[in-house]
Amino acid sequence: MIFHCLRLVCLIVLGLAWTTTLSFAAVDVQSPAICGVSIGYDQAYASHNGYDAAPLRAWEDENQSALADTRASFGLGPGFIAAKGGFMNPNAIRFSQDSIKTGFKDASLGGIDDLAVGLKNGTIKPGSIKPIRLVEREGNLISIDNRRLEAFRRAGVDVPTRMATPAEIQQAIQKGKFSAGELGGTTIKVRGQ
Amino acid sequence: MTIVHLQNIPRLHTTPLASVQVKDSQVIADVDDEQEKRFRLVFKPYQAMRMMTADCYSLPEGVTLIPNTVMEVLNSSWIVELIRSLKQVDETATFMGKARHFIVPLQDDFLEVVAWGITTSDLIEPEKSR
Repeated sequence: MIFHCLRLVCLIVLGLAWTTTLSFAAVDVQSPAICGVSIGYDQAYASHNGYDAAPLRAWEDENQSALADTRASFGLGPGFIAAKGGFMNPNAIRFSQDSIKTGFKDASLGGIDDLAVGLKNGTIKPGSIKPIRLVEREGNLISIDNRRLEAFRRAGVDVPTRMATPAEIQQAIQKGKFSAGELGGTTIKVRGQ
Repeated sequence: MTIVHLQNIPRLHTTPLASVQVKDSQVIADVDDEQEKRFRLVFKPYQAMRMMTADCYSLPEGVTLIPNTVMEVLNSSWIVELIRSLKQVDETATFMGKARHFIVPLQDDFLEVVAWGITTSDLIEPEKSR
């Protein structure tokens, strides 16, 4: 009887050990997959975060009052300016002027078509061109650098952008640089071609 | 510094394709008007002129230019500065008393001239410099 009881206890202990081991095994099988997904997400997030958010946040921290004024004048919400850096489809951006001259002030760039051809055939890297400055009004992004925008449109290549600073916007307004109207224009006339 | 626009001068094109020359005490600017018709602005006799790219042209706070127009600066600090210089060179000279300060927006550049007056004239086709 005593042996029978002991055998029963041993069987129960063995049974428990067996099921517990299987559970651990199952967790071990699952763990790398979960960690893999998690690591993959973290890496993507980290690389996205490391791209340009930190310098922009630092810049915003230093320019809080000026940014607040700009946002108020253009009806922007907090954080909007930091969201508009990098490369953009040039067709999503409007022109501030109704007409431009074809030649760049920097004669090494030639005219609008010269830059467009260079961008299209790859002899000019988009990243080597100075970012165009943007202003937002009622949800429209308007460029105050119209020649470069037109060249990128003609090339069909994404254009480097940044938001204009409050001082730059103020000077553009004072000099009457919004000849295409308050919301900008979708096309521009190129003169002197 | 007060800026007024000159009513009797045609409105300039946003992209006026300007050509500027200095000749015989005159500053001559050939520009397109809003209808793309070429005309000539003549400032004479001139006492000073300066041309600046739009990138280097920073306006003081509160001063807004009137787009596409030829403007005159009233109470010009530039004229005051020129008068001060003239007094050092010729104490009895008075010709700066007639001087006026004009600003011409040429899209990529700003032309500023101090002169006694401004006149306009049409340009015949061969003189176009497009």
